Amino acid sequence: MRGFLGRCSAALSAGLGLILLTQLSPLVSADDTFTYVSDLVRTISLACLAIVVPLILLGLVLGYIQVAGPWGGMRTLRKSGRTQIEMGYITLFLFIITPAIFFIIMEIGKSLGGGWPQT
Amino acid sequence: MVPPLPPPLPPATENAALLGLALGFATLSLLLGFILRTLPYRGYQKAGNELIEDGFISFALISMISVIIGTFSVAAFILYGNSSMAVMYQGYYAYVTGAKNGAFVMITVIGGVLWALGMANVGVGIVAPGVQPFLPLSLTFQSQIGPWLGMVQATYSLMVALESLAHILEDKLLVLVAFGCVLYAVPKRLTRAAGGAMIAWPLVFYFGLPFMPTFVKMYGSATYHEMACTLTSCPAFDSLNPLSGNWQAILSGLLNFGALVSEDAAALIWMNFFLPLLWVGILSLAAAGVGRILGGYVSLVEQIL
Repeated sequence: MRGFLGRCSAALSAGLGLILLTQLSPLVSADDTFTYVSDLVRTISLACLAIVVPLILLGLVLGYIQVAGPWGGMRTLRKSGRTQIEMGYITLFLFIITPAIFFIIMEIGKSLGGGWPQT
Repeated sequence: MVPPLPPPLPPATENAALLGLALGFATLSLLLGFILRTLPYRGYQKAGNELIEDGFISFALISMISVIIGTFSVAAFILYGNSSMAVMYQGYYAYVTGAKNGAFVMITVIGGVLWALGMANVGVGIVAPGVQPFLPLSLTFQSQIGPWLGMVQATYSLMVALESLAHILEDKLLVLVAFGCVLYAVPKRLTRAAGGAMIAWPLVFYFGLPFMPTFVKMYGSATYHEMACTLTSCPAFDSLNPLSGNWQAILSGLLNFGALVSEDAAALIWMNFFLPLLWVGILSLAAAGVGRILGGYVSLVEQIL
């Protein structure tokens, strides 16, 4: 019941916030606010995009160093390196196929009658 | 014969910016997830998996939101007997207006009789000071139908609120749903449950509210005779017959009038206050269920990874 009421109040607050944002504020127009937030999200996304590939490659290199390093008896370190390499390749694979998955989801949505947001 | 499909929804214009923002949040979730997955700590990797999963699910929801609305629309089209939502809402507004008018007439009649008794009492008091022949009658009548007055006024207020709610939903459905998508797609599941609720509540209420007149008719009292009092005629008031000059007849007529008004008031409150509230409660439960489905966590991607 508490969760239910919490969700209701959260939805109500969000709705009221939206109404305040779009209807009642004479100083800041809703378009400006949305543009600002969208730009902020886009900038952060681009920054993430810029560092994600180097980070994946760095993880792979570190993993290979752990596996191939000159520390004969340290099995834990080698095992950790193998996990790191495995994780790095899966992440890289996911990163590469993500646009394809997005495209498939989008096409399914379109074919079922869904529209794509015209920004 | 295959029934014609419902008319398509209006093109997304007002909500496009919101859906674009939701898309940005979904992409951000994915990229943050990839970054966290590359970090050499198990906890971060789990958090990264969660973010990737959320990003994909949010993206799928944004892509399918028109499909979800369309599915609701087709279901409503079938359930409403091939009537469009606009036609259904016309019926809904007619019901709400009728209920409002009924409550208004009831308030006027009860208030008018109470006022007339009070004025008669004052008039006699002026002619013969200290004599208040209508006071016991007034008190009796007030105790008989007075309690209904507050509830009838509450019925009127409820109908006004439901009418306003329907207008808001008709005008702003797509914006509210798009805003729910934005909340849903915020990274780290910060407002996911609120987003799910924000999508579910407007959708369920938009398609569920026009069912209210049918629900009220189905479970309304069989003895209810469509508001005995209208703006042009009031059989209960006729029974009062105040011009007959026969005090005994007026007294019994007044009590009879009170009984009839009480019966009608009770029926009006049952049909236009409790049953609509019950329907709103049912819709709220349904909306909470849909919101829980949307806001729940599906760890399919996490299991695959």
